[in-house]
Amino acid sequence: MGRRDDQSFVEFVAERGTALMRTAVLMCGSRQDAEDVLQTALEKAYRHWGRLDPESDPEPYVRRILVNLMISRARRWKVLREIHMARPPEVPADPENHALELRGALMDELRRLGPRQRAVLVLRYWEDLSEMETAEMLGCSVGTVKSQASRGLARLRQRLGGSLTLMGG
Amino acid sequence: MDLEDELRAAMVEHVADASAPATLAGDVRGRYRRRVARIRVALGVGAAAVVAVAIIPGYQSFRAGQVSTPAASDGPAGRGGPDEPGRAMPQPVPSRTSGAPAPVPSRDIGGTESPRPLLSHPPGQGGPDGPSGDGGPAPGWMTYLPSGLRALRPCAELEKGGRRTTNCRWSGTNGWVEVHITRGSGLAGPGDVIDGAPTAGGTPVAGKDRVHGHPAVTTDRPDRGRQIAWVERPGVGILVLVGPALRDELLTVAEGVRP
Repeated sequence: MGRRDDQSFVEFVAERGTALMRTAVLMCGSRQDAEDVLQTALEKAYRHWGRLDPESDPEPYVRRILVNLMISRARRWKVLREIHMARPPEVPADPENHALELRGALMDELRRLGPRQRAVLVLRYWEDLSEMETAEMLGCSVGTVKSQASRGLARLRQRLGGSLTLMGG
Repeated sequence: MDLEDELRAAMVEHVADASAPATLAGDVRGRYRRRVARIRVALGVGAAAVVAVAIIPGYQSFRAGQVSTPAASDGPAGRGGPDEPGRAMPQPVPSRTSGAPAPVPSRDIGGTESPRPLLSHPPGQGGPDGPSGDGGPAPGWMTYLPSGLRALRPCAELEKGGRRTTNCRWSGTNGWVEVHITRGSGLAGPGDVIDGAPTAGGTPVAGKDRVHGHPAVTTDRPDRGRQIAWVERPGVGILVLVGPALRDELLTVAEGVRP
């Protein structure tokens, strides 16, 4: 069995870099943070790249590093992040632009969730991972994934209650 | 549309224009190389620090042992490494532990006997291990000498005007040191010591010094040397003179004079 080499790393990044970048953006909230976290995650993966099984897909491994990095970084920067967090609009929006603004408000509220809840929602509804796969990725139980997803959605629903009613959600 | 679908749509919309930079793989590899280089440098610095911490105390103790007072056991000329650069750490003169003739105790300096050489062997005949003309080991009250100095003749005592003065001189390639210990009445302050000394004079140096806690007066000598005088205790005055090359060592030498 061969070993993964530099070339395979370059190919992997070229092929999956954008998908990983988008996951990072959803988890981190800002493009700059996402790029930094993604580089750090890829660097960690690169360190052990030669030891990865060449027959298996390295993406789950890299994504797991990415999620763990994001969660630990978000905990460290929790205070600063809360200070800089944008608040959703208090005034009801024009119904014509409502869907657009609701999505913006949803993303704002998603960023305001705790890092673990945010990771669960991103993995479940962006990556379309099952509860089992999400639990495996986060290193927790399926029950924890269920409760985190449920609480995260409930919080979004609570904060966007009026807007969602307008959408019939 | 329920919340989950709205959330999916919002996510798709939010990251629609997000893409990985083309240089991502190169950036990652460059970052990895920089990190490895940083770690190596840190390890190198740490290793160098450990080696320095391990070596320097040993080196210092080695240098501290190189005080080149004219110990009889150090060889025919009483050399203890006069060519080594730098200064030695203050320490007891090695002659005390070298098996050489014991130095004259301080009480003998101010004794009442007739004038005599301070050392245990007469001048001109050399000590048990030293050649003729060697000044022999330094007196016990001289606890520090800069490296490279040795006594060419033994200390001598002079009596004049009711005062007894012990004069010692050490010289070498690094310069010279003289110590005059005067015993007698009427020594009230440093000025009395300087006035009574054969090398009196000089320009006072600004600032006040203290030796062993006693007020001292420092003066620059005409030959660009420097001297310091103080009264160690009632009736005992000390004058220390150094050549131009040892001006900076004056206070250290003075602190090492403990009659």
